[in-house]
Amino acid sequence: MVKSKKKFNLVRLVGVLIIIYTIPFFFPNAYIAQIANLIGIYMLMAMSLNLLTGFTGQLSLGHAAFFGVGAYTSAIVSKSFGLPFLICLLIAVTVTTITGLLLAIPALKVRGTYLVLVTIAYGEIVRLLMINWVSLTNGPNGIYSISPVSIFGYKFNDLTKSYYLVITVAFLIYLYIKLLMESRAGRAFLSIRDDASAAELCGVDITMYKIKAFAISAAISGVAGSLYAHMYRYISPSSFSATQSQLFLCMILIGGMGTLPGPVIGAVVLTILPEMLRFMQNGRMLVYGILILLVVIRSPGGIAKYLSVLIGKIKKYVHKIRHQRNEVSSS
Amino acid sequence: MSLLKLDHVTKRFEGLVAVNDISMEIQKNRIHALIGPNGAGKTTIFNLITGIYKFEGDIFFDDILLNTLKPHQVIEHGIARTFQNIRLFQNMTAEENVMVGYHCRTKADVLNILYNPKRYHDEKVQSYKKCAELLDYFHLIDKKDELSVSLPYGHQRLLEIARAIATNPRLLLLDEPAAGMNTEEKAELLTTIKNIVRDFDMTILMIEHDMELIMNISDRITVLNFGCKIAEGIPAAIQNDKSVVEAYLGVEDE
Repeated sequence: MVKSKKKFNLVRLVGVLIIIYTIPFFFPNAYIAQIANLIGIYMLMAMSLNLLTGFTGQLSLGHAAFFGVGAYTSAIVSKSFGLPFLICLLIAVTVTTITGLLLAIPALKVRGTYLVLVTIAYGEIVRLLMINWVSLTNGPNGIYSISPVSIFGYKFNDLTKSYYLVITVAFLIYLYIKLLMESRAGRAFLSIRDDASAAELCGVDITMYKIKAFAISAAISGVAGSLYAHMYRYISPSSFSATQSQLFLCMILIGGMGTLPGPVIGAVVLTILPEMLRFMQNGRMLVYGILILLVVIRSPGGIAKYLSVLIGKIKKYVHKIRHQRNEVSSS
Repeated sequence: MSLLKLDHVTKRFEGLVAVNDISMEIQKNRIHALIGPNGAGKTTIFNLITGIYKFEGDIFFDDILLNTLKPHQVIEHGIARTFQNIRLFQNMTAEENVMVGYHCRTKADVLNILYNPKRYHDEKVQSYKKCAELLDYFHLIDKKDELSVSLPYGHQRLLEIARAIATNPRLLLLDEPAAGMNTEEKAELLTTIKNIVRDFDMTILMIEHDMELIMNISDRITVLNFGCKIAEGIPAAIQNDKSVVEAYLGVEDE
């Protein structure tokens, strides 16, 4: 039983890998390729937010700020010191993690609605710094011609190559979060979400684990930010606004908060959907709203939950048919 | 030998004295009951022992002073508890609930997966094995994949005890374990608690309102009223204690 389950998991893993690595062969044009790249980045952001909000229960509406800190740090370090991409990435992740720890200090003292306010404030502070600290960030004009991603001399200079890079990173981080959530630490996060004081009385150091959740979440956002800066080679404060934070939250809400595939599904749906609805201009916010309402009412666990229930039903149905067939053949 | 010792413990909330200068000792491998009318300060004492509130006086557990410890540190030293209103992790399965209990007895941390996968794996296998044994002990093994919230009430109570025992305590605090149970379930609970003391080398301090259960199970009883200790002794002595009867039934008017 266990062996067959392992085998099934391996088959699924290989299947997913084949799909994500053959997608570029079907890119009809640069526009679609661009969207595929953006999906990869947003998957990272949604997974980062899902770890903090979906799994640990700490609602954040300032996640674009982590994204922005990662992007700006990487861009600034790269532009001013000409350091290679990997070093920029490392510095970006470090700085973003530190800001995550800084945010954890006030965030630990409050919960629920007040925590949301703290994260909104954090998002605004970072955005205002980006706009007004002109000597460092070049203000509203943003930072141009950031060096493209290159690892040990290999340049990821076209959209297909950068897609491979970002999707590989997203895949690895997905695996990390999966293993993390199956571990002792992951259960500690879940227990804090469900009942923090009961968790503490089961021996979980809730302060430490909240800090860890903030730090890991921020670090993943740092990776996303750095990749974004070097892939698009241009960043400006408008890419890291509060609207962006809301978008990330919508992704995990629609995809499935607190599930592993949720943020991935959410990132795909909410990146493709606005492109398809481009003709509606501002009317697309209406579609968003309706979509969220539909998900919340029809399937509160998001699309991921809906799919897993659906798959469960199909399996049951198949099992039933097989059973009936066996009975017929045996009689 | 006393395992837990409360030495002149007082807890004030603003003006209200919830626990007033209480001293008591709990002997090892005994079942000690804490009884008293509503609002007597029983649960507050549990909260003081487990480090939720600060207080005056001293609490020693096996000669370790607990006063300044945080709840998770108290649990690490070997005290576990259940709650008056069941507080399981509702969105987690029965198995996961118990696994959280192993938290303080295992070490794998968030980055172990990256640099020490072997330890991460070994520890995981070990804990799942222990967890299965424990669930089996409480006859919950076939419910392990069910969400804790969907379990029947009696099973939820048992699961909470299982989760507490997973932390590997030497002292188990049970807050009204029989609340909401019928006669049959209570009888089962009585056997379970006695078995736990025997099988896990446990000491138990329990709050309970059901007098029949208390008299059948306890080795010693402490009675509280308005935050003060009014009596302590073996069940037979408590049953005939005048002040206890008065606290429960009131004083007859002249």
